[in-house]
Amino acid sequence: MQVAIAIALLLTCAFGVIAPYVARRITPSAATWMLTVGGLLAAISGIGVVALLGVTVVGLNQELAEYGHWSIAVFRRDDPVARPIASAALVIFASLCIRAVVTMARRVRSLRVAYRTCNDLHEYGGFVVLADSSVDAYALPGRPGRIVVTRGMLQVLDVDERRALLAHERAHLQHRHHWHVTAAVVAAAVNPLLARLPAAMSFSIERWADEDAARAVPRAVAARALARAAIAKPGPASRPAASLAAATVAVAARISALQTRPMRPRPVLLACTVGMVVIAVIAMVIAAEQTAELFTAAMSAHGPSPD
Amino acid sequence: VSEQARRAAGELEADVLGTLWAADGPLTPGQVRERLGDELAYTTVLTILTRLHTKGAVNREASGRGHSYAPAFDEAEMAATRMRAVLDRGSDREAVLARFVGDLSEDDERTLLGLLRRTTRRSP
Repeated sequence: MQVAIAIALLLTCAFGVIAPYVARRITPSAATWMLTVGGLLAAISGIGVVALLGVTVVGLNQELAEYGHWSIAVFRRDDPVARPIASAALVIFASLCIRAVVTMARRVRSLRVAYRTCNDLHEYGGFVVLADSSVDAYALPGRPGRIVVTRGMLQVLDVDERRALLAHERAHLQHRHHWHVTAAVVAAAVNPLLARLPAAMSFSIERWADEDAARAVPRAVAARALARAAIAKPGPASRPAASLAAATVAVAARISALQTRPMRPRPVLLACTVGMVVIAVIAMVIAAEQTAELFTAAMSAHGPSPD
Repeated sequence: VSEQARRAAGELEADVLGTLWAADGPLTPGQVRERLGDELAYTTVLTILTRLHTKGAVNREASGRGHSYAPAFDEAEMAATRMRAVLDRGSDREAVLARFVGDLSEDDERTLLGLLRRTTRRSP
């Protein structure tokens, strides 16, 4: 059991560290799906491992043992997890579950507000204009979603750049990128080892939308639209410096990516990265089977029920 | 109407509307055509403008022998108020938006200007 748990934890941790790097080296659509599927699997294996580590506390509990008809002695003798570790794991498990539920509820509420707002906004020519001199544009998820552009943004771009912008935002709505981002945020809430996943996902969906824009207009025009919008957009002084720098680095990286040739798919790299979390889940399932065996042994040691 | 034709028509509408929004004042069909790079026929531009006017997306006023067109501000002002009300209320609401560009620091403007110069030089 310890071996299986160690493998699961190690691989989950490795995915959390490696996946953001791999995501930048494969096509953005493949990267987005890799982060989504891999992230959810890593979240499952992570929370599963924590639950299995904590199960000793359950096995050693007198009242639960009476109720479930198993022998505590077997757990005292055979259980491979030290009591303090198991207790800590149970506390961590509970707090991670609460964190996940809170994160999910908050995201669902925000998405619901976005969906409702979409129905209230009227679009012409495929986008909603805000009479606002600030430079901003975004995709608002909904059914259907809306592309929202400020007047300020329309004024800093030329005709072709505006086409690039609209193609970019259309890609977000068409590929339902908000669900990918939600998956990453929830996975990171369930498994803190995946803390870097949401940022990697945000970058990945922007790159995906950039590549779609680069199919509607020449690559250089898509890059120019990004650079022009980024320069025209003033950085609000109230935000912390670290997040500002991160956004700048991201835009610069996106522009550079548009100035070079499109990425190659690299199926082997993709398979290896996803393979890590698949093995992590398998290891977690093996550990779970071993735990189930322990309970079976404890139950047969308990003998026939007293009545 | 084929899917491709409908899509192309939608894109032309977007081009025309974007041009009107980017302008400082009302534009005549000729001015719109000029700003779109003279690729479209005058009648095409006029048809699109008329269609947008019928939908209520643009207002028009008499100008010389024809009309000049300006985007409908009322709805855009309402939309701006509505979006502000939505986004002012919580940090996670911002997170569901897929922004074109995030908030940047002024220090890094130089890097981006450099990139822009490179892009402008390379594009035809």
